[in-house]
Amino acid sequence: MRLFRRLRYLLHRNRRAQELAEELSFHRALAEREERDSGAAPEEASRAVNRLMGNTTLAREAAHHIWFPAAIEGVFQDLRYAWRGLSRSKALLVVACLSLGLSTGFGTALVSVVNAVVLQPVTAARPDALTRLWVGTGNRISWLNLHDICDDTPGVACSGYRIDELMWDRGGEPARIFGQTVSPHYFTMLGINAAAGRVFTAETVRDTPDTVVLTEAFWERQLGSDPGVIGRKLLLTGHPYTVIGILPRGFRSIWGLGIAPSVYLPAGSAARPTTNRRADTEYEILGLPAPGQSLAEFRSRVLARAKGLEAAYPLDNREFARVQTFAFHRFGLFLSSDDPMMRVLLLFASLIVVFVVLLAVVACVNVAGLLVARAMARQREIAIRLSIGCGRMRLARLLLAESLLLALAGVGLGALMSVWLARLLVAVPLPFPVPFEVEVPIDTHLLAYLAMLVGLATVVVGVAPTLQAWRVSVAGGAGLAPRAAGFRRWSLRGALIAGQIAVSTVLLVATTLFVRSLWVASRIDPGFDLDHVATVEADTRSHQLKEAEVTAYYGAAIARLKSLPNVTAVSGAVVVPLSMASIVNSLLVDRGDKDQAVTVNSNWILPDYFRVMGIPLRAGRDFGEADRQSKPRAAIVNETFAHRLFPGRGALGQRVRRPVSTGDPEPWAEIVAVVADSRYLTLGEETRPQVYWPFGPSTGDMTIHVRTETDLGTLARALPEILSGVDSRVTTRARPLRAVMSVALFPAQAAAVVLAALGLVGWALTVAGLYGLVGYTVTRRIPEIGVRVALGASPSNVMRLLLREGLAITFAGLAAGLVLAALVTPFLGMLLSGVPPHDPASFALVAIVLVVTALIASYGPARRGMRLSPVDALRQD
Amino acid sequence: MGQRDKVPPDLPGGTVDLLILKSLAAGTRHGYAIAQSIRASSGEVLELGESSLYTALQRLLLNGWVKDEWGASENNRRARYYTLTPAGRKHLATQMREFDLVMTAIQRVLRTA
Repeated sequence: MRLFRRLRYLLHRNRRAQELAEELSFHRALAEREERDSGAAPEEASRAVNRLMGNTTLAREAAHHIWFPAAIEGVFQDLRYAWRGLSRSKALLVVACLSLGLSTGFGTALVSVVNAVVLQPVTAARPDALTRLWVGTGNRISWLNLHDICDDTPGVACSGYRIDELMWDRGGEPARIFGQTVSPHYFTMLGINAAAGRVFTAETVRDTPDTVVLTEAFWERQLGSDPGVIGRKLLLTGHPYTVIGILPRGFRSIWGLGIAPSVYLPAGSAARPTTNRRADTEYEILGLPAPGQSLAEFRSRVLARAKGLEAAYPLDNREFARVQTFAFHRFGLFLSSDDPMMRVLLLFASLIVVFVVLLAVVACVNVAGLLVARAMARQREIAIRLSIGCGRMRLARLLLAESLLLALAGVGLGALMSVWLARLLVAVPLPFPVPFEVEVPIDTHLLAYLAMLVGLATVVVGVAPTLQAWRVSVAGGAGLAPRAAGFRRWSLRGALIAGQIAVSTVLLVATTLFVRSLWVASRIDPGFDLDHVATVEADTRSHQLKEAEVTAYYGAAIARLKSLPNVTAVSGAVVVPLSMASIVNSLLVDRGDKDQAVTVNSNWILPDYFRVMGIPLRAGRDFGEADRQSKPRAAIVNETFAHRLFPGRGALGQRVRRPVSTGDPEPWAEIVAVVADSRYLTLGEETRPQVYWPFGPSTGDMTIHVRTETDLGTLARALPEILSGVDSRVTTRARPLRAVMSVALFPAQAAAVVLAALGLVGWALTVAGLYGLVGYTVTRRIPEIGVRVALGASPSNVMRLLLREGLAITFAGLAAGLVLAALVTPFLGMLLSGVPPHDPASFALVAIVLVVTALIASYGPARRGMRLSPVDALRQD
Repeated sequence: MGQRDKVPPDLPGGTVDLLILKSLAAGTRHGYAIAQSIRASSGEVLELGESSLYTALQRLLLNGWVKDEWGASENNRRARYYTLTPAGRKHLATQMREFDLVMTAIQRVLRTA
C-alpha cells in the first residue's frame, strides 16, 4: 500500500509540490494575520512569522523526501544524467548495445537452451527419491515378472517402462510415433495428474485396459488441440486405444533431456506386453521407496520377492535373486546413466557456459574501450566538474551509472534476442526421429544468469573509464596545462584492446581444439561401414499380418533386393546398433560342472550380416541358412566376449545358451565364429561382450540391411517403391545407415557447430574492437600527422607509423593470449580426444588469423590517415 | 515569546505524529488549525514549526493514517483539510496506549530515583 502511494506521489510530484507550497503560504497568511491582530506592525509580523516558521525550502525538501528518500533520488539523478550524456552520443550507444547485445544474446540463448534441455527436473512428486532397479542379470525383466514384483509385492512401489516406436493409423499413411508403455499405476506412483480427462490407474486398467494418455504437445500438434479428443479411439499398431486424458503442459518425461514420448500406454493392455513369456526381457524398472523407507529396506523387499520368483520358475528366472539399485538423477534417466558419452555431454554443457562468459567479457572489454575513449574526450568536462566542487566519488558514481545503463540496455537487448534465438534453436528439427519437446522457460536460473551478466558488464565496462576519470587533474583536463606526451594516454585503451585480443585468443584456441577434436570424434570408427549400407524397416503390424505371412514377406523382400543390380549383399538384424534400440540380457556359458551367467549385448541376424556391415570375421565361419533354427545351435561372439570369457583359450567351439522359457532347457549352441568389436549403444561406450544369434525361421520383425558399392542415397530413395510390389499391405521406410545412427553421431556434430559459432562471434567482436581502436588512434593523431606530412613524411611512412601501432598492440595481446591458452588447454584435456592440448597447428592457425585480422582492421583507418592533406590535418583543433 | 519558540527539541520520537492525530480525532482540520489546537490545548507550551508539522503530515499521508481534501477555509481561501482514516484512528489508539505506558514508567522511575 505504501509503495502504491509512493508511486502515485511520483506520478503527480509536480502537482503535489505545488499543493504543499500553496498550503504553506496559506499557513503563513493565517499566522501573519494573527500576529497583526495581536497588534504587530505588518513588517514586524512578517519577520516574526519567518522566525517562527523556519526555512520554507527546507520544509518542502523534507516533505518531499518523506515520499522519496534522498538516497534513492540521488541514484535516479545519476541515471537521468547518464542517460542524457549517452543519448548525446548515439553512435556509442548503438555500438555498445549491439556489442553487448550480440554477445549476451547469443550466449543467453545457449544458456537457456541448456537450461531448457538439461536443467529441468522430471515431472514427479518426489523426483529425488526415485531409483533405477535391476533385478536378475540384466536391466530388463519380462512383463510377468514385472507384474509380480511391482504390482504384487507389499511395501514395494515400482513401475516398469519401455519406449518404442508405434504405428499410428490415422487413415492414409500411418505415422510413426513414440509411445511409452508403463505399469498401470505409473502415474499414481509418480503423483502425476492429467490436465484434462484423467490418467490411467491400476483400477481403470483392470476394467478397460486399452486406454491411452497423450502429452499436451502431441494433442496440440497432431490432433489440432481437438477439445473432443477424450473418449475418441486411436489406432495404435493395429489396436484401438481410447484416449482418456492429456498430460499437463511442460510435463517432463523420466528420460530427461526433453525426450518426450507422445503417448503413454498401460502395460497389460492388448498390444502390450508384447510377449507373455517369463524369460523375455522387455521392461526396465523405476523404484520409489516410500517416505521413511530406506533404500536398503526397499532393496531387501524386492530381493525377497525375486528369490520367491526364482524358486517358483527356476528355468525362466535363472540367477534372478540379484537386485541392484542405481541412482536416478532428478534431471532424468539420461543423466543417471554412467555412459561416458553422457559425461562428455554434461562437461560440454558446462564448457559452453564458460565460453559464453568469456564471450561476454570480450564484448564488455570492447565497450570499455569505447568508454575510455569517450572519457578522454570528456577530460575537459570532467575537469570543470571537479573544479566546481563535484566530489570524485560522485563522479565515479556518475560514470558507473552510465555503464550500468549501457549494461542494462545491452543485456536487455541480448535477453530479447536470446528468447527468440532459443525458441528458434529448439525448434530446429532434429536430424533423427527422437520425440523431443522443450519449452524454453524464463525461470529463476535464467534471470539469475542475466542479473549476473548485467553486474559483470557494469563493472567491467565501468571500471576502466572511472579509473581514467579519477586521474584527471583539474588543471590538465581543463586544457590549461601544456599538452603533454600523448602516448601515455593511450596506454589504458591499448591495454584493454590487448587484453581483448588475449581473451579472444584463448577463446579461439579452445574452440579450434574442440572443433578439431569433435571432428576426430565424429570420425571414431564404429566398427562397421557407415557409408555403404541402407536399412529398410517394414511395417507388418498395421495390417496385422499373421506370423507365417510376416516370414514369407521378409523372405520375398530379401529375394527381391538381392536381385537388384547395384546391391552386393542383403541381410537382416533385429537391432540396428547406435540407433537407441538395444537388447541387453543374460547368457549362460558352459563351464563344465555349472553354467556361468553373463550380461551381454544381443542381436539376431541373418547370414551375410557381417559382410553387409563390413565387420571383419576374425575366426570361424558365418551363419548359414542351416543355422536358422528356432532353438539355435550356433552363436557368434565379438572379440571382447572371447577375450573376457575364454582368455588365452580361443572361443571357437565353446558352448553357450540362452536361459530358457518354461520346459526343457535349450540345447547348447556352439560358438562358430569370433568377429571384430563394434559399437552398440553409443560411440563413446566401453565395448561390452556381444553375442549374435541366427535369426530364427519365424522370429517376427527385423530391419533389413542392404549393401551397395554405388550411390547409397539414390538406392535408399528407390527402395520403398521397389518393395511395394512384394506385398501391398506393407509400407517400408529405407534410410542410409548413417541417418539411422544420427542420434549417436549428433552430439559431436552439434557441439562442433556451436563452438565454431561461438568462436566466430568472438572473432567478430575482436575485429570490431581492433578496428575501432585504430580508427580512433588516427583521429586523435591527425594534427601530428599533419605536422609529419608537412615536414616531408611520405604517405607510406604515415601508413607504417599507423599500422605499427595497431600491430604492436596485436602482438602484445596475441603473445599474452597464447601463453594463457597454453596454460588453460591442459584442463580441457579430458574433453579432447585425438588432439593434444598443445596442438601446434591449432595455435598457429589462431595466431595467423588474428594477425591477418589486425592488418585488415588497421588498413582502412590507416589509409584514411595516409590520404590526409597537411592543411586539413593542421586546421583541426 | 520565550517558551513559544519551538517544539522542545527532544520531544520523544513519534510524539508530533501522535499530537496531530489526536488533534484530528476531534474532527477535520487544516494544517494551521492543527497547530493552533495543539498550542491551545498544551497551554501555549507546544508550538509546531512549519517544517515539522508539514513533514509529519506528509508522513501520515504516506502511511495512510490521514487523508486530505481541498476545501474553502473560513475566509474563503483554498485550504487542505485533513481527516483521520479508520487506520489512523486505530494507530492513534495503540500509540496512546503505548505512550501512557512509557510515560507512567518514566514517572515511576523519576519518582523513585
